[in-house]
Amino acid sequence: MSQEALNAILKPSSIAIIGASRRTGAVGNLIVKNILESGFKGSIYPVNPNADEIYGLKCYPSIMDINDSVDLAVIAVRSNVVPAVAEEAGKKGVRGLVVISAGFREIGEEGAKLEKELLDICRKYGMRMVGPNCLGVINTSVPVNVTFASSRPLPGKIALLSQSGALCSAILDWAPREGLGFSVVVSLGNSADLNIVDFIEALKDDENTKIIACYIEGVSNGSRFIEVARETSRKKPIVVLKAGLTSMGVRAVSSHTGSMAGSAVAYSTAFRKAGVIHVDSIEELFDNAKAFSSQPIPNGRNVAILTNAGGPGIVATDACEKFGLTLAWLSYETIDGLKALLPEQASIINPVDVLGDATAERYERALRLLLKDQGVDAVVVILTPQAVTEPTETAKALVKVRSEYPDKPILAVFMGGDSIHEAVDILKNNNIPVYEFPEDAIKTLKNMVDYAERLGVQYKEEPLEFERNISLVQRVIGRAKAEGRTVLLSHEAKTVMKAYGLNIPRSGFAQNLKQALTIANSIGYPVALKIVSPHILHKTDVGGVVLNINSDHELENAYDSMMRNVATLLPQARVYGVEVQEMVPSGKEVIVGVHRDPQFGPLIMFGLGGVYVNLIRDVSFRLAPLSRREAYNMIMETRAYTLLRGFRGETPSDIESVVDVLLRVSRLALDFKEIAELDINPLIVYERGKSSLALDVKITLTYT
Amino acid sequence: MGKKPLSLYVASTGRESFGKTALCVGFSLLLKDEGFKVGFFKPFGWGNFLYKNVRTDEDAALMKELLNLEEDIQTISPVILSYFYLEKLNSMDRSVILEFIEESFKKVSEGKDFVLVEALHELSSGKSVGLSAVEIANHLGLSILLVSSVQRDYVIDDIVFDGSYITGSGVQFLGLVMNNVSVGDLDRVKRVYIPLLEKNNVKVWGVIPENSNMKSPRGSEVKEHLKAEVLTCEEKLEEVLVENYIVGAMTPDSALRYFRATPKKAVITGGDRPDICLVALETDTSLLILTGNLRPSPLVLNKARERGVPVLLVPYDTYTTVNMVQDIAGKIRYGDTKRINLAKQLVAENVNWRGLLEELESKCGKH
Repeated sequence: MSQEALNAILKPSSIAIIGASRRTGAVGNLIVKNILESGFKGSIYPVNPNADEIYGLKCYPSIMDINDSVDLAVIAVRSNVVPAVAEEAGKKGVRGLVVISAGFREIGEEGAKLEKELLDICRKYGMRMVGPNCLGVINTSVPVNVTFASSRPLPGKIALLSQSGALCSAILDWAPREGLGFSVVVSLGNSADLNIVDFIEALKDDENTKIIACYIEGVSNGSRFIEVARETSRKKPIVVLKAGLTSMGVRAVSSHTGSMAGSAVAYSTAFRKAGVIHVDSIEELFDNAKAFSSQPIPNGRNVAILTNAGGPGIVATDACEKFGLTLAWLSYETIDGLKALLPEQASIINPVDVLGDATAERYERALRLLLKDQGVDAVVVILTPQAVTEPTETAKALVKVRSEYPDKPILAVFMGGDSIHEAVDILKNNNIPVYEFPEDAIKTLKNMVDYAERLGVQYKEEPLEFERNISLVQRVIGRAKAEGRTVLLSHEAKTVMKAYGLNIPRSGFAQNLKQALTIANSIGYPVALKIVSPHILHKTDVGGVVLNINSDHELENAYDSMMRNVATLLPQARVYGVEVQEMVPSGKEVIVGVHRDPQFGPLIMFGLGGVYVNLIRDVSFRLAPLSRREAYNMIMETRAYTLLRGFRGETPSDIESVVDVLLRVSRLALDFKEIAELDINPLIVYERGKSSLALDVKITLTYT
Repeated sequence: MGKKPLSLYVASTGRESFGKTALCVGFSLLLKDEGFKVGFFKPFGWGNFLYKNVRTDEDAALMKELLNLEEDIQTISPVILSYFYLEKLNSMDRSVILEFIEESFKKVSEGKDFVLVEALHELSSGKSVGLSAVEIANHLGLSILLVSSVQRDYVIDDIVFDGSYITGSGVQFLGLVMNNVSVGDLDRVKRVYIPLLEKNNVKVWGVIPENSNMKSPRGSEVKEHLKAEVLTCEEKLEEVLVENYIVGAMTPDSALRYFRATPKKAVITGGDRPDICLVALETDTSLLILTGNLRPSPLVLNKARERGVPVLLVPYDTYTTVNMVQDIAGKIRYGDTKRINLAKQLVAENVNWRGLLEELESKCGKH
């Protein structure tokens, strides 16, 4: 997004409110009120032909009657009038629009036309637009609030981007009590022009924003989302709640947005590629937002737990292990310090139990010791209200120590109700994230650690260039297309594999028995026989595969019985012929696949192969283009890796060759958009140095 | 009465075969262009069509309009049959029926240079009452041309069998036109089937390749058959072709796999499955058929409109709808200039119709 358009919307110096109203409670009234109350320093021009003034501001019959220039126009008139006033705004030289009005795409065909018209006007005048059908935009650093929300946010470091306007207003209402403040809030509405990705990009260098929290129902341009989010998340964390990942959720999102909700696998893979923190609930979204916005990023995953109660300390310890965090080994110095500080019964090794009679002072001194320890990357402070506990004083102590050690994150877990109420408020108002229970804090810390580790990783993309025969693949695909086939025949699919440098078994396509015999004799027995038909997807199920054929006689029998079986079981299927293939030595069977995701492009799959693929589901996914490192990680994530590495004294398999296959398949999927699905099952992996073989390959094409 | 016109009796081998009408339409138009006065006769018609308040055969009505025939529709197709046709034929005197047919044929032939005669269904239809196509041909002195699709080997046997039966009954057998041959079968047809047929004295006059515009129903035909309400893109119904049907009852992820592998399809799904609708719209879909009278959200309809995919709404459940769409096939109807021209073009390009004409002329000369 251009800086100018961005500034007009996020940092306007003059605003016209088209549809400003004197009627209390009306949207056009709330907007004017919010702008005024936000403390906006620039010019405010209410536009309403039937009013002279609103809140003491002079009212204009039309935007054209304003003498000064206008950066931003907020539109809150009936939808059928919106294009006309937008046109005027364009003529006036307005650069940014926030269209609050509803009654566009979300109401049907009529509305969709209106939205298109509105968008055309924006394009014509070079205006950028938020909405329509949105709550509006807030920037607390300007300050400006062009929403009709009834609650006003505290200033803070969290940017909230939401595809649900109602969620925005609920959060704006809830957040002040939680001590959560926002830098920017954008309700995206229908995203006819500016979408969530535009704002992620815009906030990348916004110094007032430390974390970007997003509520997403769908992403329209998946690859741009990944690119921008990846770039941005190297500067500041992006936490995303993606709604509609369950089967009923998908239906709800589909109805709500009219866009494909997308598969859960594709989204989580895309989020990983983009370095985005993916959360499952609104609560988690803000658990993370409050920690990231107030705490430094930890240097490692070594956590110290400081508690005045054994039970919650153990719960926290379990959570650490569950989420892959390490309990820090405390230094001798720290242990000595704790020994000197704490009563004898106290636990001076991590989790550090300062006992139920711990005062604020004991907490303070213990916390200081832990933060000082080089081996501690973060501290979780747990407090339960017991007889002599001083919650309020302890909270103040935390605030004090926090300022002494600004480089390590402190997360507080204050468990209880009325007795800790005041303490919790102190923490909230002093930038110490506080959680009700240990698991929430530990899970959040885990996300912080993961984020820190990703920042440390250099995504060095190696040049992935292979010798490959592109024109051969073009010819194969061209022929299938000419015949109107969407599924490549087995020998065609293997040709594609060969063109991309994969090993394939020796084989030939025969249209009758005589040809089959000739091929078998030139390959040499034993051979395998497979049916070739675009209408048979699961060959084995219909007797379409016969293995270990050792002679002409056996081949004849196999051919006859195969034709009989297919004719009986699938009488509708059109048979093209058979494939005669060499019998290959056995090895480890894995599967490599491609599924072209409509949003994010080729999703590469790796897993344990064979007939149990669907049962075991030992699979991992990454989006193309794959780096060598990603390909390795894909393999290592699966149990198949244990097998390939050499299970119980077996010779290790050629993992390098699997990596190579993954990279080549990724390249193929990027080169040929027609390839919608590809399955190599099995890819037989031989001993180290002996490569691999694509034994059976299925490729589905699309032409749209 | 002038000179006896040339005539040809077109019958088919195999119940699944279709294309008699297309061949008749194409051939008659080509003859017309050559200056022939062409007539049409269908001794037994199937009474599934109402033409100017007369229950008659749809093809007969089509040809009457297409060739501007002046004869009554009752003359062009004198005996109209229906579901229990044997009962009707059996209750009448065979000779009366034959005489009635012969009289009508004479009327149709008057002033014509060429009369195309179309059989009902297969060659054997009516055999049990002594009125099969072969017997009619024998009575009227017509030569028979077979039309058949050849998807499987046994069809070739059937054709050879039918051919020898025709000849054995003393009727002239002209040979075969293969219709609706899929691209994947063309090679086998040339390599195996044609040599085998010719070895058995079945002359092959042409091989007409499969053509989706001809055989696949249009969106409008599906709509009409289902008596569906159109929710969007009504103007596209005439141009979209439905080559496949697929039921959307799976998860969107697996739907995407199936939908991708199935081009030019109608997706049948519940109106409460916006997820499936959107996946369908993401792939090559000709038509969305929503069942159970459940309207989708306006946003889903917007997407359909953007993609130019018509959406139909039906009150039936999905299972019933699937059963209903099974028998919808593309049909040449009067006024369907697109399919009529296509029939002409397919015959002109793929059938040696001039050779066929010469053959008829020479055989006629011998008589």
